[in-house]
Amino acid sequence: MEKLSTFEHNNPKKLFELAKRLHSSNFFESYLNETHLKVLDYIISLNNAEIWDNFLEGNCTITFSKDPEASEVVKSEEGIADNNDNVSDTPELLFEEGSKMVKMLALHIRYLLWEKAIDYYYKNTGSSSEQVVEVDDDFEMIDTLDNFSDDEDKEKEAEKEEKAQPKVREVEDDYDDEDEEEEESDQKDDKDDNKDNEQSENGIYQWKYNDEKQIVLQVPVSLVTVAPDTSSEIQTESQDGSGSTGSEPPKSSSNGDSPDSNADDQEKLIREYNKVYHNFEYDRETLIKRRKLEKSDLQLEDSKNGNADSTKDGLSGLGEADSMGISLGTGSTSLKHLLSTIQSKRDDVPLNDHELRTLFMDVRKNRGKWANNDRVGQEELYEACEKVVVELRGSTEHSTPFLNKVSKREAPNYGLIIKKPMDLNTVMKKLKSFAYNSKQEFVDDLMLIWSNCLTYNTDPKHFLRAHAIAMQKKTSKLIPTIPNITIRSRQEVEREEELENERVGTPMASAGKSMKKGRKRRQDQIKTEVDPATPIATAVASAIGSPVPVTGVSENIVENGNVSNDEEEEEEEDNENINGEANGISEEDDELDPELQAWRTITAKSRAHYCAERAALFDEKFHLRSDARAIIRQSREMSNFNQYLTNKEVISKSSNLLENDEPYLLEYDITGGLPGLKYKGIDKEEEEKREQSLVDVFLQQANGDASNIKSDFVLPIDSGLNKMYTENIKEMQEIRKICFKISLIRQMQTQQFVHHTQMKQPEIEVIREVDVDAVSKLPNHDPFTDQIQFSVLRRNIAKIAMQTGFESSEPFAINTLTQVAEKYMGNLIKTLKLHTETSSNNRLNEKEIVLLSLLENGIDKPDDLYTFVQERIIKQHDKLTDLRSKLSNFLKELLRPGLENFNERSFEDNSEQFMTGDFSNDLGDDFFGFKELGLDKEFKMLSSSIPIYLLHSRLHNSFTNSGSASKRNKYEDLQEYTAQFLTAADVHKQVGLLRPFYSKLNEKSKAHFVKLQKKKGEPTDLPEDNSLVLIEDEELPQKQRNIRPRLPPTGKITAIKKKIVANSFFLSDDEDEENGAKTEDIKLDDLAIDKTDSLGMSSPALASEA
Amino acid sequence: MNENKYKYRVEIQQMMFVSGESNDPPIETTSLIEDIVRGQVIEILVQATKTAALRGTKSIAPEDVIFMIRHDKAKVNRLRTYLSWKDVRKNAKDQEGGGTESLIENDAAAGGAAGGGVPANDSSKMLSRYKKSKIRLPWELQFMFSEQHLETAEEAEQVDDEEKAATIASLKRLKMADDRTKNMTKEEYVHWSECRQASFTFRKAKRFREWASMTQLCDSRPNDDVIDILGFLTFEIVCSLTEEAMQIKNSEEKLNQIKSEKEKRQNPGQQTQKKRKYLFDKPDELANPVMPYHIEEAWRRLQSIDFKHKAARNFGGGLVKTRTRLI
Repeated sequence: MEKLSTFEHNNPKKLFELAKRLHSSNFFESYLNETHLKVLDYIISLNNAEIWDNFLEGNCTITFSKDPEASEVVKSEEGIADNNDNVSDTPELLFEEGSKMVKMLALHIRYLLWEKAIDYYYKNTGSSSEQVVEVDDDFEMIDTLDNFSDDEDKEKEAEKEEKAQPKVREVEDDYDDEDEEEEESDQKDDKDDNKDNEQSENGIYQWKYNDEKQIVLQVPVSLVTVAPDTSSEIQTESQDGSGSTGSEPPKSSSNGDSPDSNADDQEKLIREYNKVYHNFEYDRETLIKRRKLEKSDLQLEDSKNGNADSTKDGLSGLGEADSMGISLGTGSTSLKHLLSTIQSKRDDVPLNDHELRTLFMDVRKNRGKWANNDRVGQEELYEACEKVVVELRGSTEHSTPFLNKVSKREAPNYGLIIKKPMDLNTVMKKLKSFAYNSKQEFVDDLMLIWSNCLTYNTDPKHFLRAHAIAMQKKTSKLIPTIPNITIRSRQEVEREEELENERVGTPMASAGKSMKKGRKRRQDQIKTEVDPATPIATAVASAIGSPVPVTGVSENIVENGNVSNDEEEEEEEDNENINGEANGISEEDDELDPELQAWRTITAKSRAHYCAERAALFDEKFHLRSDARAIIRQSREMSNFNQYLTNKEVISKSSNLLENDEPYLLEYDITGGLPGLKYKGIDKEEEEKREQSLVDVFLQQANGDASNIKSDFVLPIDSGLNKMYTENIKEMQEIRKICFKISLIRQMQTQQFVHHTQMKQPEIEVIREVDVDAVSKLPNHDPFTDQIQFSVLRRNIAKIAMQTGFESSEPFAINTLTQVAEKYMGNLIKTLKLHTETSSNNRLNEKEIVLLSLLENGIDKPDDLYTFVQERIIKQHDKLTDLRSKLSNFLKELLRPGLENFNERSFEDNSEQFMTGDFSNDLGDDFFGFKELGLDKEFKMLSSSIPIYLLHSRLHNSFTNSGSASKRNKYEDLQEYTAQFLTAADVHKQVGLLRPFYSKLNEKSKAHFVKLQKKKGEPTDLPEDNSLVLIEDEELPQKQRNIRPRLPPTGKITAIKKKIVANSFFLSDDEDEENGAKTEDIKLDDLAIDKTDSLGMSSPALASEA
Repeated sequence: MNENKYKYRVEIQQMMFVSGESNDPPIETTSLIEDIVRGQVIEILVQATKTAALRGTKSIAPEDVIFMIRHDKAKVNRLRTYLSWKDVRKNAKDQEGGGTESLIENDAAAGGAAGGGVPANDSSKMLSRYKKSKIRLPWELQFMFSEQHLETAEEAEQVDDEEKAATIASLKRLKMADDRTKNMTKEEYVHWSECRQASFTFRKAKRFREWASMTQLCDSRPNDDVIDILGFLTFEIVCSLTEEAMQIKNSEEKLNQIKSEKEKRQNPGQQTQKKRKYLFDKPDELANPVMPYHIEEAWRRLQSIDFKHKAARNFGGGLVKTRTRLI
């Protein structure tokens, strides 16, 4: 890289040229702080190579010239001595005289220049495809630099020319050499001009060497004081809207560019971050400050809630929720860009200000919390103000001491010195309570904070002063972003506008004019407004605005000097943990390195965030916490890191910079740079796949049926205790089925109606041996895991529970039982182990050990196990089978109404139930074995079913009248037989005892026959003896019937009857009467029987007769 | 008050006589036994009340008491036979009023007669044909199911194995009693049979209730069946206590004997002195009655926890909490 020979040989001229060019492109702006920039500016403006050389070498010291206009050479001591009037300003000098500061500046500039060279070097060696345009410019600069230097030297040395030739050639190798050459020529011209200037200036300007052979640089005091009013030119221009820097960037004077240039600067800075490795020394401080800020945020939040009501009142009808603040923030920024664009093309927009404003109001989705229709301009002003305050608060580097009010504890005499205390939170509160009516008031309050601090802390080396000054600077940078609006009431504005409209003819022109006017007015106002804010003395006076004279205050300061110093120390102690040792470093570096400073402010938030994250990983003793969350590599971080490696600039986490975005911090990226592991591990799918293949192999072995493979978890069903248990359980299930049927029948007997759902047999599952975990057959599964073993044991325990009589079991209960069993078995094994491993002299043999451990676990002798099986299982089985047979017999009895009353008559009750067997069908039982024989299909008789109530009533009957039914049945058996009618010829055949009765009957029947014949009008001839049928009693009229004693169907003569007999026995011995009574009795008796009424009815009748 | 505290001295003496203690036990022994028995009765009542509460009733049913001793199957079976016979007696009383007295005598005589090897007389056989209702306990197998079959007559007569085991055990007892009564005179035998009837409760239900302070323990008055069962159980408790104590006494005596023999061997000079016996000499060894410390030892042994009841606590550590065991 011969182009870099400039740097190699440390050629001051070329470097100077480079510096000049860089300076003209505002390169240093972003890297140097204000003062340094001014000094550099001054040096460059001197345009003297020798001074530059010495400056770079560090042989330079600075003195202040007394009178800036005269710019005469005065020694530094004299300058200070003469300017006693200015002594009061000396604390405001940003650096002290002497070589120290200049040396540092020189070092810094050297660094910056060489950094450029490094960038260039890497760019050319590295991949040149992805080049950022901006960087290209710099490279061209270096390229041209070489050429320039060649030009310079051409006149003097021929060798240089030779050197230049290869340069040019080399450049020609580049594809874009033509452009460069063109530029070259341009630059040449420039250089020539410069040279002339230089020479001319050299003639004018003179310099001196001091005793230590250092060049003495005289700088006008105006440059180095912070008083902007004296160096009017610079300050005014800087306030002219560029806003971001203290120096004068000639390009960025226009309003429209300001936000963009601001962002550009930031971006540039961020790009540079990753070129430097930052160490973590500020992190602690940052973290603590951040936390303070968050705390005060919380406080603010609280107080805001307190004020919420009043705020809402203020907002009146517009009442926007506080929570919209966030969305508003982003909304307003986007609008800002839009606004600036509109501003720059204002003339093309055919709308006046008012219309535009209303348009914005309409367009905006969520109007700001500051919005208020009646107070014109409030929204804009407050929004900007809020942003400023937030930003100030956010710059934790310096803002921390100013967040809250100074407490009495910190500084007891604060109230004496500072009449009007102010802090950032108070400003925020005031903002929220709409206490500000104009930008001026707001700015005054802000400036008051810093000036208060400076007033109180008089010691020029006090650390707070540095903070205050920094904040002051920051504030003055930010202030121009606030639009200069004085809030007025709506009516006022409208009236004004009307007036204006009247004055100007066309609205177009008026709009443009008012626009311009507004801008101008704003600029003016800013000037005047800022003025009092910056110089401290005046600021105090104006801000206090009280009758207390300025001198008084300053006197106070002097008087209290000592006291306040003490307090400061105290305060310092308080803040030691914050500012501690870091203070010393930061103060120096702050001065020197705005880049670092910018880095610190911009990244403060994210750094604090990172630190908090990191701190969460450790406990109080700085040990890694075992329960901390794992650090996970995130793809975004990795890609950021990769981009960094490939030299692609990483601006922020997402590659475009937004306001809320955090910049990418390589130093804090712990995980992004870690390379990935080679072993990828096995994911779910892979596992599944492998398992599947194993299963396939396994199934092939078993011919496609998994159940063929023997599992350890399936007990053989045909041997051992398992067989007995399953048999017992089956038996129980059978018995339960029978029980259900019995209970159903019982229910039908007692209830009139049985719902059909009650008829449904409960489903009882047959015990099957199931493989608990079929997967564990695979060779890659461990069958001896806790869970599997537990579930196997649980299954068996459940079986035991069923065998002891539980129909089903709660999983919870079974789990508990299983645990008990687990423990018991564990105990057994432990006892065995204890006895086998004992160190006792009294050794036991194996049998004894087993017996002993059984004994200790509650089994007195092994016989107990046998008896258990015998008693509890085998005997139980016998009992169960016995019980089952008994119950099924019982059920059959219940269903079949007994053989003795199962006769032909049962078929008479209109139902075919016995024919079809349907009554048993409803019970889900094949009682007659029809189904078994296939008869049901043959006769199709089981398809039709009788209504169950028939069965119901039938059963009911069979139970209630079982006794009488049997009697009646006997009578019915005889009913079949019809006795032969007796004829007159049969009379003599009868037994002698009965003959008179029959002969009497014969006569009666003859008379009866004659009577009947007469009625019919037929001949009354008596038929022959063998054809004359003797009449039966039933056919006789009631009175002529034969007297026959009757017994109730029970066959017993009841007590009542006895009584009657006794009574009649007493009362009369007349036979006829007695007979009459008897006939009566019988008659009644018959009636009673017919009616199936009680006999009690007859007794009163008899009694009355008696 | 203190005098009234012990009310069953005679009964306890009789029971102890039946279970083998032929001497008159000192009053301390009987009082101690009575205390123990009372403690047991109270324990039974408390636990039975608990189980009754679990069932949801306030009064103790016979099953609750039987449930307490369900693990001792022989005892349960004895109790069952006792109860069924009691039932028979009751039925007979109902059927033929006024015949109770003779029935009981018959029954007692039947027991005694059986013990004496005399074949059971006809009347007892006839009685057993009177339906001897079987006591069914709710934890029997058939009650596991929701429905029960009606029992037929021949079914009731079937003797199941448990009963057989119980009868075997009771036969053993009878054999023991038989041995003891073999050489008794008539008067002695009468005394023996009287002793066998000793009970805490029979015709003394009120006294028993007061003695066991049942009113304080139970919400409602336990019915007569429960009292009967308790009477049976108290008899059993006294018997087992005495038997255990007798064993202890015997082994103690044996030890003493061995010791004295040893002493004799060590100084054989004394041995010759007592060789001759005279008519009015004292008996060789004074028969010692069962002393309170025998009973205490017996109580300790009966209360010891066997492995079965503490196996679950193995390797668990800690103190095993125990309740009084029912003898």
